[in-house]
Amino acid sequence: MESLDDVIDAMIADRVIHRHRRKWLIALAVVVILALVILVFGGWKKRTGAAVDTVDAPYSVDASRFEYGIKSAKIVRTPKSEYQKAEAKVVVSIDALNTDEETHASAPISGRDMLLVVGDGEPLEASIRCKNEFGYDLVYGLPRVECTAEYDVAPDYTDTHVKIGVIGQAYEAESSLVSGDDPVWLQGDALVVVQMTATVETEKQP
Amino acid sequence: MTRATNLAARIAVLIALVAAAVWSIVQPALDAAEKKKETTITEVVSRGPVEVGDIEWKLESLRVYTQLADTEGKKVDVNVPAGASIVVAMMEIKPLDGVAMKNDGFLCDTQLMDDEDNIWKEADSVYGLTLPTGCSDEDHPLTRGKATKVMKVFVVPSKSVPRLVGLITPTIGTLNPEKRVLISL
Amino acid sequence: MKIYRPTTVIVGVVFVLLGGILRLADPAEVLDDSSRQLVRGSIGAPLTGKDFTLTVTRVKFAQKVLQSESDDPDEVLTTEGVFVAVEFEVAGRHLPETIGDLSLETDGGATYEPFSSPSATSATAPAPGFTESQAAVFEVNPADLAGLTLRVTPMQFISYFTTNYAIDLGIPSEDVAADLVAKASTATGQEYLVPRPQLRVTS
Repeated sequence: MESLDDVIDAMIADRVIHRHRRKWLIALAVVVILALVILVFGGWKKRTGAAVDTVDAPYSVDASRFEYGIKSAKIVRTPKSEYQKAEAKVVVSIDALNTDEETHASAPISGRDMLLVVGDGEPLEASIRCKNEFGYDLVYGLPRVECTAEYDVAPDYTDTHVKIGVIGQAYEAESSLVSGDDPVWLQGDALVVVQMTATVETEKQP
Repeated sequence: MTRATNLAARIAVLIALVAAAVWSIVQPALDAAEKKKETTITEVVSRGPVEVGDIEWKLESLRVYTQLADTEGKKVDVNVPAGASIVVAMMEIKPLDGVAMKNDGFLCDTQLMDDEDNIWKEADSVYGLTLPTGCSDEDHPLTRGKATKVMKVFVVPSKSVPRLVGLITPTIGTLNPEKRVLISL
Repeated sequence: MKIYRPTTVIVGVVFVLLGGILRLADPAEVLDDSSRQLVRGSIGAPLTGKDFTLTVTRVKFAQKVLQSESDDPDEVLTTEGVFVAVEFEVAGRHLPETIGDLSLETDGGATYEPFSSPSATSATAPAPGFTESQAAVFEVNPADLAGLTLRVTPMQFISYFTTNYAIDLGIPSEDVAADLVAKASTATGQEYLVPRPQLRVTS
């Protein structure tokens, strides 16, 4: 004799699946087709690169954790010498202030938040020095500090129309293995593009 | 599925779940035990020679020096705070066939131990001695099958000198990391 | 279609419950501050850990920090706030080890980080029988100094049962802090020369 389990199995099989066979098959086909369509069209991602305002320097950007005063830029060229090849870099001077109301923690500003927008290709990350030191921790409560953001560019770089894209930071929970549910400072959204005309300097090799 | 297979499958799932539960509870303790294993001695040998990880080790002597001299007889700079002594372990090291010895030789760092379980690492930046202090010295390269005299320099508190017991062979980079031998005097 | 056998369902439910219990009892929870062990100490009092004894010996305030004895003006660090130098020593036992990264915390909620050089950025225990003296230098906001505490925090890997240390530096109120800051700025050319790490035999 069949067990009760088997009887119930058969009942469910009949009522739920067999009687509505066609509907099930159509539903399955729809899901498969939808999956293929999404696959072909490259996924679910929203088009990023939301429009961000472009403003003129000098401009003060509020990035929650820090406040950046973007002042001016210059292109510094180092001509070819006996020991070194020709180099050029874009140097932007910035006033930075620690405005971290959440944690009052001393922290450095990141070169990933201060990008040089170049014509074609990826924006460049900055190499940042404050008070002439790399990785300088800005103290909450102390006044603004002079910083420079340097970008290594090709030796024949001539674009004096410098555009700096500033990315903010947001204080939110990351839910990672390390921090769990406690909020931390994470890179946030692009805030603004600050544009300025750079002066050109040529550094003499000593 | 037959009843037997069915039952077997159900029991297998149950065992898997219980095992997973037990593992995640027990794992931290296992980690701690693993760490402990890194420092336990597996064997004690008097002077040697003893083979560990395709290298033959022999401890010839353990001596105290007030200062070390270089090949020209001039004093070699060793950072020795007041109340500490230089202890030199004279060893004979023979790499056997099978030791991975690229251009730079191999690592043969030992540790010095006393009877209170204190462990000292070799002193770094000791240059210019007549004998090599390591097994990747360009001026004194080692060759397989040949025993070479190597000087191991340590700086220990003077009061620990009478309590020194011997040298521990390295576990990193050897083929047999489970074997940690104490070569005693 | 035996996938919905009662036993299978029960096993599935048990699995979900087990998952829930494991999540609650998950040793990874130890990473949260509440379940990590915190050991408190105070300036001048030796704090004993597994293989070391750490003692904060002195706290100095200064307006200028010299990185070396040379007169090079580039070697002088200046500030709009104030510099705090925490001098400490660590006695080693059994094996040398890294105790943790250094930072300063205040009652007001500020966290200060040490300079990378010439300051010490972490507390390490030297070889057994030896004591190493070092100094950690921080740039701080003079308005947020009450309850200044030296924190020693081990590296945050998935390591269980880590111990954090908090050493009170004896600055209980803003008034005491203001007094120390004032003293640092009145002495003309008040400078602090960062001492190089020194090793001696533990007495």
